[in-house]
Amino acid sequence: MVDPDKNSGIPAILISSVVALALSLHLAQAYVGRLELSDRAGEYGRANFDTGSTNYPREVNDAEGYALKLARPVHRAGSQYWSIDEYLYSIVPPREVVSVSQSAYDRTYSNVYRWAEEFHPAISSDPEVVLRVDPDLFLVSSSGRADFTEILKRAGLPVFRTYTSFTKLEEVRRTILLLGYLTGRDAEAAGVAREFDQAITRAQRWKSAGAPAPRILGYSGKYSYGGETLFNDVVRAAGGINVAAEHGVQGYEAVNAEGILRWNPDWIVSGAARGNSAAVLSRLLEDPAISLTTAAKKGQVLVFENNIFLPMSPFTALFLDALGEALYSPKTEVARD
Amino acid sequence: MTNGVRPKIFLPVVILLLFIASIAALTQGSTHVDLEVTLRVLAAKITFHTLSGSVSKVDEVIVWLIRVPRVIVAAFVGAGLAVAGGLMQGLFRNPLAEPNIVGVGSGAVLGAVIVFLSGLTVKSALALPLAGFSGALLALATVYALATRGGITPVSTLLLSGIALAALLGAISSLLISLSIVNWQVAQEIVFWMMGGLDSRTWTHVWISAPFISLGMGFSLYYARDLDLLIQGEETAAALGVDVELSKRAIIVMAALLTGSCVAVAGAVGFVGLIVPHVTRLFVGPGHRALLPSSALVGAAFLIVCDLLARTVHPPAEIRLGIITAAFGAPFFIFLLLRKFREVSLL
Repeated sequence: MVDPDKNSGIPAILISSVVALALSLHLAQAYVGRLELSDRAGEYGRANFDTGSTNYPREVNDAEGYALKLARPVHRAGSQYWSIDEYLYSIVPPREVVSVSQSAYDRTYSNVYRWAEEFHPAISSDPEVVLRVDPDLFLVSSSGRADFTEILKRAGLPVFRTYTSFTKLEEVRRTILLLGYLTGRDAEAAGVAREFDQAITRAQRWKSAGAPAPRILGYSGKYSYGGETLFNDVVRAAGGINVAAEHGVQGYEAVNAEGILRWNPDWIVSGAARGNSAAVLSRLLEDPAISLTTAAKKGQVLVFENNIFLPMSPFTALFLDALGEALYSPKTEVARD
Repeated sequence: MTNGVRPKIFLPVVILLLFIASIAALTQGSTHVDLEVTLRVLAAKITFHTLSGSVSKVDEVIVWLIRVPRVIVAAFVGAGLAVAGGLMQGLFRNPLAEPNIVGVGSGAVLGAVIVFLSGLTVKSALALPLAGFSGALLALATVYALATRGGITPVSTLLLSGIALAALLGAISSLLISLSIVNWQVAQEIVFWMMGGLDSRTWTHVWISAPFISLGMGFSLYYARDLDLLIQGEETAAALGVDVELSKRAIIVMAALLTGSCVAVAGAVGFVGLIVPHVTRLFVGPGHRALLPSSALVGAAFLIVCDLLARTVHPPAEIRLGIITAAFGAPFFIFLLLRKFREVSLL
């Protein structure tokens, strides 16, 4: 027989476990979207690269707070993350990029696959491979796992952890200059940054003065793009209003049919794998909620290929141009392949 | 089958296989390192000598900082899971029992998922194994508290509590993963980790896991006799002087300690704890004093070979370790089931 008095500790343990789990859940959820080392490494990117100095050695603090010293210009650069690949290929001669992420070779959304296929850089998924190609500088995403980075650092490789979850166009511009400074390609980076600025200016000029601001929903895979996303800043640059941010969404949040109907955007913007835009567009238009929005009724649902829609790199300029043209050009079409 | 004859042949063969598997794993990888270079690096490091200039720094780093810790972690994890499986199969008197049966693996997974989502994994290589281990211990404490009544822990209640808790923890992990899908890189990391793997394992992982796994295996041997008697039934064991409750508690704690330590450094690697003790039992018999150490050796060799396959089948990408072990384990599991059915139908 069970003596109930002897079980009095069990409810306490159960309650403690449930409370601990609930707390863990709450903390984990609170941190979703703030996964990077960002806003904790205030010294990130601190370097006097605005002067265009060509002096060496150079020292820059990375996202981890680690001070990387570079004795000479970089001629063998490696990358572990898809958006860093795009920065590198924009700034550095392609033959000097010795390792890239697997995504660089992915034709469905990479903007640099042609260079990757031509110059065959190694794929940085394995530390052994990275060590073999012996980069002068290896760039890692600030959201990458620490154990991978730790092995490379212990091996004496110059590793720099750079932010990759950008929320402002200015952060992209600053990273272009930072990577130029790190690789010793200051002039090339300044040129890329100038072109990027021009793309922003072009986007800002599309909208005529006094015209109403288009209300735009960024929508992909049931998620909306709220405030504190690069999409939000692109929409702002193009003179639009991000309806998700307008309704208090911060970062990326799931949105259901009711939400879409209530927000009733003038435009819906989404992404699709290369060559798949028409199929994604028709699927979106078949959605009962989307089909009732002003965007669908006016034929203002836009589907861009992912290599245009997704970049957080100098290639974001493609999206700035494409969005500006789609919103304001009289020849707007619904699918953009 | 005659116990005591086959182990004499079996153990040297397994030790030889373990040695060959370790050397193969040290010399093979996503890039080429000569066997001679590998052996020279090992000899120099073990004897604290400086390497001569003919061995490149990169080769030295690849062998000593990447491959050696990886092989050691594989050996410890394989051994730990196999011993944990042997303990569980003995305690539950069921050849289909496996180490995660009381939910510790699910606890470790939840701990890991939480640190992935909190972003701690990007800051410290220690975060993941420590969280996995803490999750495993918490799960064990909870299952034990749920199953214990008046100082007695019936095995069947323990089993059912473990299954229920594993389901609950699994559901919470799934919920967290579904919330994290928006951060696709993190979601990808979690899913990959849950498939098990030994990529980017360093000496840190060796120092975290080795003491606990060694401790667990050592204490398991101490309880081998009790386990042999418990198989005869709890009353018989008690009559022969076994403190049944204490032994059961100790065996389960050790199995959980082993499983938690292994999952913490290697992710969820399935089937090792199921198939290795079973195969080993065919050679050395059911006595746990021979079975547990033999299982440890077989488990170590098995996981080293599986990891070798994981990183060489499709280079430079790695097949996840859990996929390789499942590819061996699942057919074996079905074979066990079919054999069980046949035995039942013959009765």
